[in-house]
Parts: sequence; C-alpha cells; structure tokens
Amino acid sequence: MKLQSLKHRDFPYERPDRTWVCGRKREGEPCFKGPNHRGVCPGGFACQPKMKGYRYLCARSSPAGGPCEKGPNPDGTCCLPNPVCQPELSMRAKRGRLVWGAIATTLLAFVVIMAAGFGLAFISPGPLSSVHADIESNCQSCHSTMDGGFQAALLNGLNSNAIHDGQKCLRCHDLGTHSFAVHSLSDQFLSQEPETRWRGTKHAKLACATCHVDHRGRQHDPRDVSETTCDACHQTKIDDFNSDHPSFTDYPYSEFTSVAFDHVLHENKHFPEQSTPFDCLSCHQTIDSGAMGTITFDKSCVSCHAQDIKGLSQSGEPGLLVWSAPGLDIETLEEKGFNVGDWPPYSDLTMSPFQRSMVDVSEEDLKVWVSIDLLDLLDADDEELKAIQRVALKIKKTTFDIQQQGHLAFRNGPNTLDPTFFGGLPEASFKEAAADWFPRLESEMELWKQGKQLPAAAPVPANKTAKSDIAKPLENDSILGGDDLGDLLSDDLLGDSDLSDDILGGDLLDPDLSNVTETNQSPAPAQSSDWVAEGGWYQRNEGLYYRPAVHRDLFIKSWLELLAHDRDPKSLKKLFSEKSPGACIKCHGVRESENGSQITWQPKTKKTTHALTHFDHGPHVGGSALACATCHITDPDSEFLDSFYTTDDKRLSNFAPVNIDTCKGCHEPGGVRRSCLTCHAYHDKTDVKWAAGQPLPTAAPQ
Amino acid sequence: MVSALIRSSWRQWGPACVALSIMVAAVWYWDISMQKSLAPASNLTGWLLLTLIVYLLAFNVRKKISVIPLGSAKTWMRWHIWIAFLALAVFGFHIRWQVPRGGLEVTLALIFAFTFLSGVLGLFLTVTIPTRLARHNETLIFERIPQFTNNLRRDAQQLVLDSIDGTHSTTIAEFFHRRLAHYFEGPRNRWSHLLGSYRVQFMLNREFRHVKPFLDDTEQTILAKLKTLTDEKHKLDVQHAGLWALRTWLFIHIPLSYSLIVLAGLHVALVLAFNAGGL
Repeated sequence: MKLQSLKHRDFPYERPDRTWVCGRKREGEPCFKGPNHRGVCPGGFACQPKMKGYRYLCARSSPAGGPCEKGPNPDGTCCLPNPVCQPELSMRAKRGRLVWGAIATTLLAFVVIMAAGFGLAFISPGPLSSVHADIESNCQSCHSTMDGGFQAALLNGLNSNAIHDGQKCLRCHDLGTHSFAVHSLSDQFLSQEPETRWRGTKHAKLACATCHVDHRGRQHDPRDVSETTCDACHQTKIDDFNSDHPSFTDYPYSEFTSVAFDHVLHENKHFPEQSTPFDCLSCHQTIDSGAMGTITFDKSCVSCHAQDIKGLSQSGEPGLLVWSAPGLDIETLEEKGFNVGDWPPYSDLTMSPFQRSMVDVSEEDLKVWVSIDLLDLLDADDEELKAIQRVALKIKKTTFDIQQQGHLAFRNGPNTLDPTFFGGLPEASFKEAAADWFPRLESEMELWKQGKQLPAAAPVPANKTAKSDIAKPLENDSILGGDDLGDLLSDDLLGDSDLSDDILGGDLLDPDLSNVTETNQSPAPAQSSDWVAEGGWYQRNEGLYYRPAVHRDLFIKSWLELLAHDRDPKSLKKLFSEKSPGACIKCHGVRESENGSQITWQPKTKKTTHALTHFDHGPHVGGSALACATCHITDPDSEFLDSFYTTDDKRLSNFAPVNIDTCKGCHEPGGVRRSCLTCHAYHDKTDVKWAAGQPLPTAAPQ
Repeated sequence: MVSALIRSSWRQWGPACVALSIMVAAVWYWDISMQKSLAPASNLTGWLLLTLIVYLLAFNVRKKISVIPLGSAKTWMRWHIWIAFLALAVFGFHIRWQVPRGGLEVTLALIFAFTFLSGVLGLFLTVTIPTRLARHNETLIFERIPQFTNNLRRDAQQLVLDSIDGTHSTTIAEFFHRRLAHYFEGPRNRWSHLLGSYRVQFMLNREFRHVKPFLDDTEQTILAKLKTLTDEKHKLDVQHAGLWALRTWLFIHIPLSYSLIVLAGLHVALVLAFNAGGL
C-alpha cells in the first residue's frame, strides 16, 4: 500500500519556508490555499468555479484533490467551503522564533546579571589568587584599559598593550630599573650573554602577563610558570635533566666569596689543634630563602679570632694612626727660611691616610710630600721645601681647626666624611695631643692668617728632650710589642721577659715574691694603647691612634670603606695587610663595584651576578656534616687564600665544583621534581621586592 | 558483511578523518609554537575558534539564502561536520583542556559543549534514521503525514462501519473502539519507534490474535483488512517519529548556536576590554 504520490499533480507542493500553515493541517485536512503571510486565514472555498457554456464547473486543481464529485452550487459558488481556522506557525518559523528568543534571552540575562550587582564576578574569568584577593573588585588595579571605566575599556583595549598592564604590576612589585627587560636585567648585563644562546633578540620587552597569569582560583600561585616558556628564548633545549643538562663548571662557587675562610686549613689544621670537631652546621645554617647562611662572628669565629681585632696576635701598633705630626727635617727647613713654627723634632711618623683625606693640599704639593725623604731635606730644592712648608702648615691649620671646632671641622675637609667617624673622638685627647705637638698653635695660626712668617720652632725643653729620647720609648713602648730602643731599655730596666710576664700575670711568680709585689709596689701604669685595650682613642708620641676591640667597630668599618671607596692604591695596599688594625682584611674581602671598591662585610654579600639559580638547602641537608660533604667536597690543592686578596671577582674556591651526578641520583625520571623551575628562576629573587609604601587604588570601576 | 560495511565506512569517512587529524595536529603544533614563542596563544586560538564558529553558523544562513549559488547544501553539511570537530579541538586548546572558572566562561563553555553535543546527536540521527526509515519501503514528507494519518483513520472507521452492516455484529467495532480508535487518532508511540522497539507492533498483533477466535470468516476478512490498515499506521508512526526527530534536534542546536555566538561576541569584547594587547 502506497501512501504518498510524488507527482506534483497528486499532492500540493509543500513549502516549509512559509511562516504560517493552515490550522487544520494538524488534523490532516488543510485547505489548499493556506493562510496569508500575515497568518490570517482567508476562509472562502476550495475553488472558484468557472462557467463553461451555461454550466459552472469545479475548478479545484489536481494537487488540491481535483474536481469534486458534487460540483459547484447552482449559484456558481463552490460546494466545499473552507471554514476559517486559526493558522499555526510553521516548524521553521517556530524554530526562527526560538532562535530570536535564545538571542534575546542571552542578552537579557547578561544585562540583568551585570545590573544585578554581581556582574564583575560573572565576567571575571575566575577568582584571583589569594595574594591578589584584596584587589579583586578593583579591575583597574591591574588592567590599564579600565582606567577610564567600562565605557572606555574597549577602546583602550584596542590602543593598549600588555606593557601598560605590566606598569600596574610595578606599583606593588619592584623589579628594579629594568622591569620589562629579559630576566629584568640590564642591557649591560645581557650583553655579556652570547647572542647565540637566544632565540630572537634578548633585548625584547616582556610584559608580566607573558608568563604570569591569574584568575585561576584562590589556590593558584601566579608564580607558577610553565617551563615551556623557557624554550621561547633559550636556544639550548633541555628536555631531560639527566641526559641534556650540562655539567657544572664552577657551581656554586662562581660567586664572590666574602670571607676568607679556608675550609681546608681549618678542617685539617686549626680545628684539630683546638681539639674541636669540624662540623659544617656549627657555622652554617639554612635561612628563609633556602640558601645556606653563615652564623655570626660572635657565635662562631670569636672564640679564636677576638684577639686579632684587639691586635693582641700581632706585633706593632695595635691602633690605627688617625692624626699625627709627621716627621720633618725642621732644622733644614728653618735654615732655608721655610719656618713652620713649632714641630715635634723627633717624630718619625708619616701623614696618615685619614689625615690626607682631611687636609686640603694640592695634588702637586702632596706629590712632593710623598716622594721626598721628609726626615732629610738637605738635598731638597727651594720649591720642594716650599711645598713641604705648605703641607706642614695645612696640617697645623687643620689640627687647629679640629682643636677649635671639634667635629664641625671635619665637615670642612676636602672629603665629606661620615660623621660617625668622630662620634667617639674625645675632645681632651685631641686637644692634649695638639698642645703637645704644637704648643703655640693658636698664635702661629694667627700669624699665618695675617700672612706673616712663622717663627722658628721653640727649643725643646730639656725634660722633653730627655723624655723623647729615652723615657718616651720606655714609657710608651709595649713590653709585648715594643721595638727599637724601647725594647732594649725595657729589657734592661725590667729584666727578662719572664719577669715582665710575671708582673702582668703573676701566675709564674712564687707566692712570696707575688705578695711582696702586691703589698710594696703599685701596679705598673698601663701603656696608652693598653689603657684602651677594650677599644678607644689614645696618643702615643706624635700620633693619635684609634684602637678597635670588638667586631663590627664602626670607626674602623667606616674608615676602611672610605679607603676602599677612594681606591687609593697605597691605602688599598695597606688594607690588604692582615696586620692592619682590627685585622678586618684578614677575613673580609674587597671587590670592585660600580661605586668603587667595596668591602664585603657580610658573609653573603651582594652578589656579582644575578641569582637566577637557587638551591634550597632545607630539604637537602639532613642535619649532619655528611649531608653537606655529599655535595661540597674540599679541594686541598686550591689556592683559595692566594686568590682571595684581590679586588676582582676571579677568586678560587675551597671546594671542587658540585658534581651534577650527585643531583641526578635523586632527580631522576620518576624521582623528585626535575623541571627547569626546580632550580632556575626567571627573576632574581633578591631583586623582586614588595613596594610596601605604595597605596593601592580603592575606587571601584565606573 | 561486517567487513564490507567497515570498508564502506572507511571509504566514506577515512580520508576526512585523516584530514581532520592532520588539521588538529597542525593547530596543536601551532598552539605549542605560539606558547613557546611567548605569543598570546589563547588569544590566537580564540580568534581561530571564533572564525570556525562563524563558519559553522554560516551553514544556517546558507540554507536561508539558497538562491545564491554558494555550493550545495550537501557539501556545506560535510564541511560543517568536519569543521565542528576541528572547532572542538581548537576549543580544547583555547581553554587548555581545563574547566573554566569564571561565570561567563563556564556558561560559554557549557553552551559550546551542548551545541556540539546536540550537533553530534543530530549527526547520529541524520546518519541512522534515514536508513531505518528506508527499511519501511516508503519515505514520506513529514508535513503530509497528518493527512495520511487522517486518510487511514477514515478508511479504518469506514471499514468498521461497513463491518456492522455486513456482519450484523459489533465485535469488530467494539474491538476498534476499545483498542484502535485512539491509535488511529494521530501519531503514536514516538519514543518507542525512535528507540527501535517492536513492542508496540507486538502488542497490536497480540490484540488481533486475541480477538480473532471470536470472529466468523467474514469478520476475520474484515479484521485482516483492519490489520493491514493498522500496519500502515504503524509504518506511518515510524516515519513520523524519525522525521520528527530529524527536525526537532535543530530546535536545540540552532538556538544554542546563536546563543553561543552572542556570548562569544561578549567574551571577545571583554577580552579586548580587559586584556591589553589582546589583538
């Protein structure tokens, strides 16, 4: 049985694109004409009979069913009326309405949500990380396009770029002056890297959002960066740590070593001598960043090296010569008519570096001063003598100024000195010294000020002469460290060294003699340098000295920094003497920096290179020395100490480079983490700071 | 026969599958390359996805402006299917195969997913139903089915009325009234037919078997004719169910598609507004 004929004459042609269909179609009895395009049923009849001759004939078309059996009514109307129906939408029209409904619903829902007050939460691509949660409602905190509000955002978005957004990041995150440079490093630093290691240019600007994304939920850490981003620039691909990573050449010892601690010597010699176990963790401990830090001098080194600071373990003057009346051939000067007034005739000191930085003399005069033998000026010509006279008078003038104005005078010197230098300089000490060296200083300065010739030096009193020639060494030179005549006299007068030790310590004397000494003799007066054995200022002969006694002595530290900063070669040379007062440079190094030489006071000093590689000691160190020695193996053949006392960074290490195979033992496939970012960072972590003082915007977007 | 079917399917789908796989791999490689070069890969895949969605939507527009020779609907349909699968892959790359977190993005992703799934459903129906309908000898025009149903109902009613006059018995009439009148009223058992169930046919046959012993020869002859009409109605219902499904899935797919393009437009606007340099 066939239901359907596909002949066009047998069935009306279906037009599914019509909007309206006959309301009786559902019942299976649609009219042939159907509703008009407005959905109105025209009603009427099945056909419009036609008159042929004198008869009306049915004009119903074949598709509509063909001529009906009954035929038209006698009045010529069709016998099959089409009752008026309620047209229905066609299936396609219904679908069209549904499409428009869906579009309208979508837009309306969006508008309602935006207007309902939680629009921001809806359009946000996700919650911000917990560290940024406080600024979640302030889009413009991070999005530069939102500065003009939503209205301007789209236009801003077309004209903006990611660097503009990055500028917003910098309001809180301080990356230094090269924020958007590769690794936030300067061109100068990057220029040291060979171009061949980079894909594209290493001078491109990179916005923060290139790597850091947020809106990934509260638990997300914006610092989590896919390591595939490393390959964007780095030419050398390391797909597998075990097979591709190059061996370490000098890691982790390429960094500048701040303190001259010879691990080999201490482990093999010094510690065994003291019967002390050499335990790494007695001096090192992990710090917050995971790096291994060094504990303070006061907790570790002090037990052995305190005496170095006090100068007890060295010969010579324990204090630093700060001010002096330098030795001069006064007789020759006066004979040639270049009087300098009163001047200590027996001084053999030189002008201290400190003094040189304070006394305002010309370079030419200073050259003469340092190049000539000041104690024998017989061969000097007049010009040279004149230059020496000028320097000597400037010394007296500066001495006079300090005597009169105290600390204020230091501000007037050729160098701006840190006022902390002089905080501890006692007025009496300096004035007494000045009066001792230059008794008529005030009147001489008055004459000099008037442009008059200074008188010849006053004759030295007999008692002063005697004191200077004989008694002074006896009085002042140390039993422990005295030299020259002083040593001889002290030996002569006080006896052998055993006795002198006995006098100071008393332990070796027999009880009887000891009692006699205590009851019948006053204790020997301390020498000036010993009088300030715990640190301070003292005068010895024609010099005013400062003696450090504790670690981190402010005066010595400031003074050494000044010398290093000036990079005066002679002063630096003195710096490198481990016998210099305080013995600072015995342990602390000097390195070149952009601002001149710097003394590396801290065990971990500011690094010379950027720390893009990090090693977290926390999970690695098991708490025993063995754990340290697993990676850090001392190199007995290293010339560590020899290389240390230079100002450049080319120093050798006490240790052999870490063997990468040690790392690979654990960071193997299937083992612990082994991605690039396990050990490497894009930013130097020590450079990334939180700009705490910067206020965050609080206004909500318009 | 199974192997022949597989060979036939491979000839039909194989090259397209290979081409699609190559394109997906190319997009994947491009996406990875963009990421490795620190380019805004998500933005780029987003623009590609939008382009694909616009193309997919253009199929619907193409059907409405059939007067313009833009290629056959069949060709468009094929491309629509393969581009849709490509769009799914690009969508995955775009969202990094992770569930979005924002309200708008979740909505957008869900609508994309439902649109795609409705498309897959439509593809399934388009592939399976015509084959099934063809097994019933005659493929009808959907819009004419009510008329055919009406014709069958009238024929059945006439047959029953005639049986009363011819047999002076109301057994068949009562049977028709109780069991078949509702069945002939309109399309019936749509979901059963869509699921390919024979239960309805089985139940009707059982009804006819149960009444047959109570009829004389004349009535049995009429009952046989009624059974023929019932079988025709069954075929009509099968046709209706299949053709209805072939049209109705578009009521889900197309509105979702337009909602998708609207939300995608809003999404693009917001990306441009918030993501400086998003272009």
